[in-house]
Amino acid sequence: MSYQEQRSVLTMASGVTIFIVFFLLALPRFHALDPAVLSDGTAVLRWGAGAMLVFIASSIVIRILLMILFSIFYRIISGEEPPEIEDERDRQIELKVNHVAQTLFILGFVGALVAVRIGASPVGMLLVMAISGVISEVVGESTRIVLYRRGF
Amino acid sequence: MGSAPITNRVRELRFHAGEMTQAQLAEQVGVTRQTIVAIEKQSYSPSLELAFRIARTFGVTVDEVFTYEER
Repeated sequence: MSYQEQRSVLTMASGVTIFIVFFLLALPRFHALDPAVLSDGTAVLRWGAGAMLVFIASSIVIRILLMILFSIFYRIISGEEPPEIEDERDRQIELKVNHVAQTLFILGFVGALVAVRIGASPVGMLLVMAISGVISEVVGESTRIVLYRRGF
Repeated sequence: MGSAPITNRVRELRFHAGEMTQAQLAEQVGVTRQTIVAIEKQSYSPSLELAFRIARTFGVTVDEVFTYEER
């Protein structure tokens, strides 16, 4: 498995793990909210937006740390330096991966709007958006692995 | 997806160039070793610019390295 493929697997695994851990941490806090807050749609949306911002910020920090550790372990285990340059093939694959991931995320965004329209709560809408983000990342990184392995 | 209709003699030319390694060729033409591997496996067709850089590295013309196979 090449450096890029290993990095994709790590990105997928960490994305799913961070989401599950965050969800498990946020769920009891949501249930512990004051009933007055829970009955106010705007307040619930504000709480959900805050939780999502914390999720996004912590994901970025954890990812950066994981990638640094991955580069260090890759050097030690494989005895090779991680590729320092990004060439034309990497850029073409990146474009295709972004296209797949963005399409899925947009579908998730539309799905979130549909969910609200048919009666989901504001937190339900944010949850649909977050799940679509995780799915788009998993499918995008899977696409990257396929493109690196099979060519295009 | 799958193999491109462009075949190449990169592996053979590397052999005739003093058994140049994939890493050495990659460094000379400015791409990663994985891209040279993909070109040799014919799972990636390089850009015209990269094709010229590879041909010049071996001192041959582009059509001596790459061939378009009609299917």
